[in-house]
Amino acid sequence: MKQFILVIGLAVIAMLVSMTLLSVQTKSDRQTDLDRAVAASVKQTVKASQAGGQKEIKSDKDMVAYFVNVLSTNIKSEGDINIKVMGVDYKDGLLDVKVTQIYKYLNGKRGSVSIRKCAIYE
Amino acid sequence: MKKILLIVFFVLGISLSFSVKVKAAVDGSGSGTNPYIVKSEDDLRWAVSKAVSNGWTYIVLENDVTISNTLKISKGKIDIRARGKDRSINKSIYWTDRVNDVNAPAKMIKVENTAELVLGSAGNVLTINGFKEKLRDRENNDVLCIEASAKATLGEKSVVKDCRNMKMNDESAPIRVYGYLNVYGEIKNCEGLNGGAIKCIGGYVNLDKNAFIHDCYSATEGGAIYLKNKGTLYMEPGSVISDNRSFEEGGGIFCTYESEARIFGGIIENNNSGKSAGGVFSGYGSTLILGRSNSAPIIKNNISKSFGGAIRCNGGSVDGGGKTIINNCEIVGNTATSYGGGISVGGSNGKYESSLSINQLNMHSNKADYGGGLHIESVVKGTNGSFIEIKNTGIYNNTSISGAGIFNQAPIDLIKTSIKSNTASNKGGGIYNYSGAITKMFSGSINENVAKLGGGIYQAGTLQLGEVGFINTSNEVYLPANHHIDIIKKMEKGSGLLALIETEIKAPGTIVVNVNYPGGDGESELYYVGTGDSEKNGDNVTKKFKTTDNIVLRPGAKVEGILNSKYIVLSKKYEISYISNSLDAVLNMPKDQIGFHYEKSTLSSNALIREGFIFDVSKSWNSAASGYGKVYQRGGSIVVKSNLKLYAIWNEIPISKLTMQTRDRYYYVGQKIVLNKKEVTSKVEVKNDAGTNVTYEVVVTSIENNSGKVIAEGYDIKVEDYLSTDKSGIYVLHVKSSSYRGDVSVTGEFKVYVLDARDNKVEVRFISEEFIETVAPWSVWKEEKYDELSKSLSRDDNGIYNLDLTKEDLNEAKKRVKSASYKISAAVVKREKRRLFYTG
Repeated sequence: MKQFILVIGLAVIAMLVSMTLLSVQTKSDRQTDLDRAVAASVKQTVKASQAGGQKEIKSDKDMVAYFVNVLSTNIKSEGDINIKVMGVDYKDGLLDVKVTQIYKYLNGKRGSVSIRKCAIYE
Repeated sequence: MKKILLIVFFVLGISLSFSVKVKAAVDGSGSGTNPYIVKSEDDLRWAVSKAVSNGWTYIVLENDVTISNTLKISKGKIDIRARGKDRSINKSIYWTDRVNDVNAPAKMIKVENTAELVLGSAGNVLTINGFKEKLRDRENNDVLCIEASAKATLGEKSVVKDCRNMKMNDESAPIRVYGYLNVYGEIKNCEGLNGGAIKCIGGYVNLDKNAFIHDCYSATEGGAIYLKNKGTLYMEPGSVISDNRSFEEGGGIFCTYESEARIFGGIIENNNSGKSAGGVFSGYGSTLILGRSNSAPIIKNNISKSFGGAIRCNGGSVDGGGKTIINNCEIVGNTATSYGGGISVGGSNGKYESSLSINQLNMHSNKADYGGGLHIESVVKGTNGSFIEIKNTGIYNNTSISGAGIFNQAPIDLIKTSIKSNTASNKGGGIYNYSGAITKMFSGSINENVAKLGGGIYQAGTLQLGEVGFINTSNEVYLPANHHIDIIKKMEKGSGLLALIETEIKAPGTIVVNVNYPGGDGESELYYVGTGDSEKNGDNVTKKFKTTDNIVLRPGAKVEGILNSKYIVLSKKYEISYISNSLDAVLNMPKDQIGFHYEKSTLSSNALIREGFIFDVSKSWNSAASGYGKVYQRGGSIVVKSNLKLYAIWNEIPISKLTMQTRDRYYYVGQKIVLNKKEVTSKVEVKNDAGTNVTYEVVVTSIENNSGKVIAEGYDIKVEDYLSTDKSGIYVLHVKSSSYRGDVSVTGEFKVYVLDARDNKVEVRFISEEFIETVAPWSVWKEEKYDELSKSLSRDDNGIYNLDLTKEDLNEAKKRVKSASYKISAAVVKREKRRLFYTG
């Protein structure tokens, strides 16, 4: 009985430690993924806005919609997204966004990671 | 016998018939209802001779009368008036008459004993005409002389004109008063040797309502009136003295030898003196009183060729002095060529004291070389003590070379007095406080005055402040060498500057304020908020005094060499800077300190910590970065004499090896970046084998161009002299780093690329607020749309659009893109836009 309780206790501790490590790992991974996805999407969107003969982006809202489409394919990690568009100029190529991904830990608590990226066409 | 009787009867008959003839020519009984009716000089003399001793005798003129010899009024009270039309009593113009005697001309009218004469009290105008122009070549005498105990009145229907008395070696004036003279009428165009119209010798002259003395001239003093030997003048509201002139002092009035002028009202204007006092001169022990509580004289537009445009009081070249009391008076627009455009107050020179008090004086727009408004000589005291009180007074808009408001040489006490908007071209716009003078000020204001030096006060004497006295910040107090401000009573003003100070001597240690009352000290009178120590600690302080050139003021008690708690002195603020002398982070670095000229400061005793080094206490702090300068002990006390830079000196913990990691650097043509050592070596990392996180300086030792040619070589090359973003190029930089001891070093190299961005097809780049200046010069974001970019980068709010997408939204978008074979077409964008912006 005594041994049983000890095993159970150790298992609980091991679980708590692994959950903590997992949550730290989760945040770090998510940040990396978000950084990469947003940077790539912003750059691709600005480039697309200035591409010769392009028909997809004819307004600032088109440009934002384009960015969302690109981001949806670039981002790997799952979670809700908030996009704050700080600046957009489809004519001369500017997109400045702050993207925040909201996610849930295993214990149900909510976490978030953010990135701000701005790209211009020189 | 028969013959004798015949002759006697003949003579008696003649006499009787003459008597009956005269008597028969004058009608009336001399009473008020039945006056004597006079048509000739003889009638007049007869009527006067019939005056009763104990009552009034009334005479009316029905003709002009010419006086050939003195008409004596010796008894009774006689009232002479004009009737029917205006009449004159004329002075004879015949040289054979007694009044024009070439050797001893007789007086025209003389009132003597206890007799009383009234001329022109009612009826038509009665003129006394002296015909001075016709008699200019003759010696002449008084037109009217009132002996002691006698009395005369020039009624409001009387005019005295064209009278002249220039009798030499006599006290000559057209009207001479030893007794009592009342004036209600007009005196004009008269001339005298001492007094153009009236000379009063020990008698009384009363200028009452409607009295009007004008256009008279004195060959010496007193253009209108000359008072002497305790003579007294009363001037009441409604009387006017104007347009008179004197060759010497007192264009209007001259008051001398213990006489008294009580000018309670009226106007004294446009008078002119050849020497002092355009309006009124008072001196030689005389008393001058101006105004009373319910009436104020106006003294305006008078001109003096010397002292006192309006008034020279307490004057006198030999027996100068007297008493002047100003109760209520307006002095405006007067001019003096030397001192005191408004008033010049003379000092005592022995026989008589000179005293003065001023209350409710309104003095403005006067002009003089010195003391545009008021000039007070030395050796003048107050009427109630040693200080001259100047109370409830306004002195404004006066002009001068120096001392436009007041040129002061005496002790004065300014009480609730305003000195404003006076202009001096040189010194002392408000006050020139002359050497030896004392100006005390516990209340009142000095503001908006202008001068080259000392807009408010040129302080060359003693300036005493206390209670709520202050000099407005628009008006500096100028302190010549060795002069200061005395605070003789605790200052009670709660805020604002007490004085803006300008000093001739700017050297630190110069005393500017002396706190001179028991228990007072310079420190408490310098600060509203703070203390000498708190100012040194860098705390905010609020001071009561300031200098025009922002020289710092400090309590004298703190200053070595002065150490006097009573003083406030000029000082100088210094910085004691602590320099870590390191590229590394240093813990416990002390904050820079403030020090003041010749004051003690205690240096920081902080123990400094730097990784890989030990703080060398035998050399630190040190005036030289090398450690070979002057040593200042940690926590030591020093007397600060200049700005001080103190370097920490370090001993490096020994190492045996350094390693270096370099990275190539990339720049674009036209980038606004200076390619200096800091920029190009910013990615070079040097580490030691001791594992301590020390930052080592990296120096560039040579630069090669792309073809391997050395374009610069040396120790610590100034990179920006050889590299720039003006044109494209590739450079190889050789760098070196050494331990602080110099015994271990490491070298390395890296390339610097300056690329033509368009050639390298740089199109889209990331940008942040920090690097906004690195935008390529050809980009629209560099100039044309710079503001838009800058605005976007500096935003930190919810943005232009704030979009929330669930993971399902994202998956849906992803599916759509996927179904379009990962081509984001216009249709895909359109759908997404509709979903993002037009739903919900």
